[in-house]
Amino acid sequence: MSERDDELQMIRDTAARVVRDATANGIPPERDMNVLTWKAAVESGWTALLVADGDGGLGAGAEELCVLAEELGRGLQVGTFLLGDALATQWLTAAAASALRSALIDSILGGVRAVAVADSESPQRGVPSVPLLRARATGSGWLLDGQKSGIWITEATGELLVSALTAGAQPELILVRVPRTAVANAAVLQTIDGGRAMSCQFVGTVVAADSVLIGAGGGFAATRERAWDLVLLATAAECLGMMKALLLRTAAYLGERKQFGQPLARFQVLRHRMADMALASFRAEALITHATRRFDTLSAAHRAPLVAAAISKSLQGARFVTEQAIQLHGGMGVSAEVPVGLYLKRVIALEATIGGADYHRGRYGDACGADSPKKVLSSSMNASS
Amino acid sequence: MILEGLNAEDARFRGEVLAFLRAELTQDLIRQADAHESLFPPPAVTLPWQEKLRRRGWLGLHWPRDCGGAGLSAMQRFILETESLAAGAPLLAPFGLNYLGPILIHFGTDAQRARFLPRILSGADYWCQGYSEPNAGSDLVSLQCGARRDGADYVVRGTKLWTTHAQHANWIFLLVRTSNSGKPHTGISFLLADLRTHGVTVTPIVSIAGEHEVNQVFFDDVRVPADQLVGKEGEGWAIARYLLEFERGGFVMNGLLRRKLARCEALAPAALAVASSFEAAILRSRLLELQVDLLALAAAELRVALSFEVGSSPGPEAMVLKVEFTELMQRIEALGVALLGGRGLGFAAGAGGADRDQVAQALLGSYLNNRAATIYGGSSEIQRDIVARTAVGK
Repeated sequence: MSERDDELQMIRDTAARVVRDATANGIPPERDMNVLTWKAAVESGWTALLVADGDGGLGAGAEELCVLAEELGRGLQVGTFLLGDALATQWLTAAAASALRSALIDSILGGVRAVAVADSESPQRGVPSVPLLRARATGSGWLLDGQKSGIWITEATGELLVSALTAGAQPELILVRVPRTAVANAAVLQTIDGGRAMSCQFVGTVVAADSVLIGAGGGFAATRERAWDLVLLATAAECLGMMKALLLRTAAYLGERKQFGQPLARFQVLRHRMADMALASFRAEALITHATRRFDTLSAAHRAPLVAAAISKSLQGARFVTEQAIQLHGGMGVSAEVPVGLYLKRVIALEATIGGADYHRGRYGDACGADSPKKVLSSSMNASS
Repeated sequence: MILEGLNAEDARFRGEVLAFLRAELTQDLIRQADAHESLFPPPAVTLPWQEKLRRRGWLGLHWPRDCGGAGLSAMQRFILETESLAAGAPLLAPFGLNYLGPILIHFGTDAQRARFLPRILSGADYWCQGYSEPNAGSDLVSLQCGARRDGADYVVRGTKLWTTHAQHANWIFLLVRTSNSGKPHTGISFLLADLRTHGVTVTPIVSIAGEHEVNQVFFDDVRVPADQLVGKEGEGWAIARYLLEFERGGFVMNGLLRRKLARCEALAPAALAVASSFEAAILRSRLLELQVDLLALAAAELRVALSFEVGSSPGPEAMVLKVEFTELMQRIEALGVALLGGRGLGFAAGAGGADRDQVAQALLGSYLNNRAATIYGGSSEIQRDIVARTAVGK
């Protein structure tokens, strides 16, 4: 094994141990990592993975993050780590040097969990597109007007990283810091998977000039796109971990449970269902492995469709595997006594937040650009209408 | 898309492959390969291409260099196979190059390697595979075609069924029963037989597509010299299992399917011009799903290809690729048939005359013929049994 393989294996082993500890008494109904698990996460350097060496982090990339996400996914321990911390970290590291940037990165490295990401807006579905939230320049800073939703928060969340579009003839995407206390009409939703999602409004919210982390011309659009691609890919790895865990759990159940005088594992129709579940996991894993290895060498134009394919196939697979794991567990599968249903709820929460398999298949088509069947089809449809 | 983001060395090799294809893969060759309905075009189409690859040094991709192999890295092998098939090169018959070659390299004697390997590369010998029998299909281990030792020969009596390209081949490798005692798999041996030997009869079987691709081969006390036994007597099942890894996991087929999918895409504009908006949306969704699944297959093939170097075998895990490839191929061709619409009505089995719609003939012929793909070489149901053995246990 190469040194790099060793490093990845170390992350895998540590994560597996942390998950084992966190789920020793069963998988907790709360989706976010508990305090002890989070402490272990910080000590293991997971919050520092995506922070550059120069900023006191580990400067790791897609492979490390995806290995970690897969292992945490096995025990439903990802929580807000990807859609909160991992997104925030990437945005912050792309910001120009400032006291605020340093303070926020330090809080992430220290495991304070103070920073959440406010990027989605409620009329939109799936991955955030161009925000409607507007930032108007004033003499000393900016005024924000609009709303955000689907903000995955923890109890400790005190700061929001907010994406906004500048007003004016040449709108630009910028990133600003807003204290949680400064927003209006904040509503916190208990989510189906045991987490917390916040929505809130910005009504002439004042942002000082030194709260702008990435300003006009700072390249936030490209940073944001890459960050989302990485988090989508890691979420695909989370789905893979869930699939692998449920395959093992269900195989064990089929071996124990007897009906008609023999273990369920002997029935070919059930064995073939398990084969189809394993194939769904296999397909997702192939795409994730490939996309992860090539993540940094691909251009954005080639990276985006590959990641879209990986998350589409992973969500489709995770939905299928979780539903079938319930089916193969029989009545126990729908009982709250076994945690199989928690996996399905996590998949639903992910789909509701980042979009489902169909949505990402469409994104794949869009991202393929000129070669895509969408272009072929839509041009022909236009021609015929 | 699977070949984007290569490192500099591999990207340079890809450039060499593309330049070779531009220079050597003629439109005529592409047309001949496209016109054939079966997965494996006949030797008249493939051997000229095989010779061009041989002269370039890119033949025997799974063979060590000292056996006449290409000596390419796993990544280079994947690039060559992917780009060639995507560009429309004919798929070379695997029986000699991909199946028997690795068997002789692993289990054969020096004399067998020296005698047979060069003639596989040169195309002087064309091999077929004698496995299935009338009462041994998926349940291959119950095969009954017998071989009894008589002096310096084995005497073979029995029959083999579904033998692809036996009408073109001059040699056959076959599994025979050399013993009826003990467990069924212990009495099987692996023989090489010259099809021109006295007592061999090849009878054609015509498929629902009208194509003569497979045959029944009868052995009526055929004398096979004992030095054409591969491995030891009774070792045939182990050899067959080794070969299965290449048959089910050694292929790189994503390029071939990319080409098939591209042909579907070419049909899309005309079909969508007359489709309702509802049907058009569904067709588009199917097309996109196939693209994504093809990317997943390509990534899986790459993963497997990188996992075994020349001289080793793909391993049993790789056999899952067979079910993935064949089922995806069927879905792609089914979409093609849907996009053809009324053009498919005039399909005539075996009638490729100039008065027929050649696109419809090729697509429907291929669709019909490839219904066999999920049956031969281990049916999809057998493959799922194998996957379940890993996923659930015995």
